[in-house]
Amino acid sequence: MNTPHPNHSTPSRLKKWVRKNGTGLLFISPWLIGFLCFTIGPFFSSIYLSFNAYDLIHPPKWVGGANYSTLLHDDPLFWSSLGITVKYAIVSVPLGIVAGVGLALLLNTKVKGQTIFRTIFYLPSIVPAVANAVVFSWILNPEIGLVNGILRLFGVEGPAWLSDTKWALWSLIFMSVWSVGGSMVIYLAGLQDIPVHLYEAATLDGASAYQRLRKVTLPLLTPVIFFNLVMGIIGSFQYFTEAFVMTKGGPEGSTSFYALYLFQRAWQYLDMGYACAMAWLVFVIVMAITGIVFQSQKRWVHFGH
Amino acid sequence: MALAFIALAAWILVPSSKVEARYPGRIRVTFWHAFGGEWQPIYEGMVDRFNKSQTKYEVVPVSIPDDALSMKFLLSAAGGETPDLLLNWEPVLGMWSAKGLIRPYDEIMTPEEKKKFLAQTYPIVKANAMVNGKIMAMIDGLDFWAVYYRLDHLKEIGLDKDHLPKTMEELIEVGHKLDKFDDQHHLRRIGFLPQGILKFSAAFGGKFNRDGHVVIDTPENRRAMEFLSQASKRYGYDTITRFTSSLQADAGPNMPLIAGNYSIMFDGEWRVKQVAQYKPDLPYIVAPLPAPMNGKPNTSNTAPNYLMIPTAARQPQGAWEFAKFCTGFMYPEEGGRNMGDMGWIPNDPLIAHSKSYQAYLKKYPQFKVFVDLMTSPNLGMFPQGPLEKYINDELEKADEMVTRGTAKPDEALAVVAKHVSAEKLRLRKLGQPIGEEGN
Repeated sequence: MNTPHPNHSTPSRLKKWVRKNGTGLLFISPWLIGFLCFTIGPFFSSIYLSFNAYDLIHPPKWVGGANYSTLLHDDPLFWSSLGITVKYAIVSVPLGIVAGVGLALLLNTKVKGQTIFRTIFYLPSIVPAVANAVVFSWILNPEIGLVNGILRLFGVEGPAWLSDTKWALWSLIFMSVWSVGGSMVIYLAGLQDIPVHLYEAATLDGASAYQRLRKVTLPLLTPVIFFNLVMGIIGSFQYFTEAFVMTKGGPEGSTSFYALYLFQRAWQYLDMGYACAMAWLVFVIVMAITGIVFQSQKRWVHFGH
Repeated sequence: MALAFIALAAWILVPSSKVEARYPGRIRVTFWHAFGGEWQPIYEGMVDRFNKSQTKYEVVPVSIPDDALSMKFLLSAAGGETPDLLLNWEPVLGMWSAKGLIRPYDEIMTPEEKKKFLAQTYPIVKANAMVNGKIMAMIDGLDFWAVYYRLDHLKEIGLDKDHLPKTMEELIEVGHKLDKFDDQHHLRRIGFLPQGILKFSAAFGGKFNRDGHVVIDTPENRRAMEFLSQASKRYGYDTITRFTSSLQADAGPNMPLIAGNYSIMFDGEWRVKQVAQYKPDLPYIVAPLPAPMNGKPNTSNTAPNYLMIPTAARQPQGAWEFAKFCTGFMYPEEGGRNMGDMGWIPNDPLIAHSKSYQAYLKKYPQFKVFVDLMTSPNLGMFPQGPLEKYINDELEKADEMVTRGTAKPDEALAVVAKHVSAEKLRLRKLGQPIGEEGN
């Protein structure tokens, strides 16, 4: 009599699932709705389009793997733009992590006006990227820019930062530190999650400040570092706005980032199928790198279990 | 699926056509252009005059930033909701024609109008407006370049308006006498600096279009590139970069000619009105670019503003009526006034000789140099055809390499030619249009 009907278990499981995840889903619902309405369709369509010659106006024309084979075998700009982007990622992501953690550590100390400092360091990260780029174009101006003005006080004639092939990419890399405030806030939250009794125990055991940092703070901050590392890698492969506004890929292609080249192919030469293939190749690359990072986390990320 | 999303994106991103209509009951003609700042009220003033002259149509202008105009138009075309008329100065005519994004005016003009257009329009205007024998755009302002001399600077070295350099080589030498450095040896004034293969190739007899094909690596273009390379080398790339980055503004009261950053500039016709507006007493004179040794006189490249009717336009006839009005075709007096307001050169002699344009020339006599250039047989054009944007970008890169000294002039042009061939091959493999004659 009391044996449950097999169909009864599904609604109850669903109810249980909704009860467990409902609040979370509700919180991310604006993103979910946006994703379902605007992203998921183009996301899957672009797979199909990457196997077509498509100019936005005419119906797509199937070309098989021609876009991919041209990219991999006959397009030197594809490789050079990928190389520039990888170089940017290799330097800017670790630099952002070091700067973010460093700032968070400083802003985690108990000093007067701490909240003001936190706000000041956070503010640049919410300034629109285009505004940042315009301001930095002036700051890095070789003749009337702030950076070279300061260098001149010390008798140093600074380079033409954005017009010199040797410096342009580095200028953009160093500029990326300016927007480190966003990750800094996450590190700060991570730091405040570290139980105080661990520091107390370490101090009682005679650990110096450096030892506490190495043995307590950094290991317990690794989940946050891991998160920012993954986001940083993804973000650097999408790097576009600053290069588009400040250098347009120049001088001599030294800042021709992958996303910039993709944009040029898509919107300036109306080569949408080719651009879709580029997008999918970089997606695969980013997924592979993220996969490797996820694999490596077992060795260095401490979840405090 | 993709088209549905593009249509949705277009619907959201494309400027609303629900701009306030001043003349209810008339047929609305939506017109996108890229004039902003000080030019917008002047240009849209002309739209107002058209609307007042009409009983049938009302043109509704929408100003869109020039760097976003093409993209917004492409989105609108993908969604099937285009404006009725579009003004764009990017090199897109060949590509958009090949893709069927815009319709030929031949389909809209009456046979008489077409006959008249072909008979009376200046040849260089026609050449810029036509693709494969079809009139794909009306030209609303064709830019020319000539040499602006600061007479007060020339006086410093004993020259005046009657003793201007007679060759380009002489012009370079005069320019160097006018260079000024400060105590730290920073360049503070450039006498004359020629830059840009597209602007200067015509003076060396160079061309980028021949018999329906794009040509790049020709002896004349190589010679032009070599000349530009030598001129830049005398300063050094770093010096030029530092100098140009210190300039305050390209337009307005601090524009380089007024600020005295350059003593001699090769610049466009629009500067005449700007100087009159911001510094009417500036002592200067305009003259055609002197020919180099064995080169051509009265040369300039030409850069058009294209008035194009999208294929999906709902009111092509209204768009054509307005295009005639603003370019002055069939309306020479109105055209003369419009050209004068914008500081442009008329498309045909009827407009040039109109009372309104003659009054303009009387007020701005310096402008006559540009009007006279219009009939020169030695004018140049940007590379034409579906790959025009790609080729322009490649030529800019070549300019940069040569100016920096990272490539020799002939190497740089050979690289462009090689890249263009590779691009054609790639597009051919993908079945994309590369021009009816294979260019």
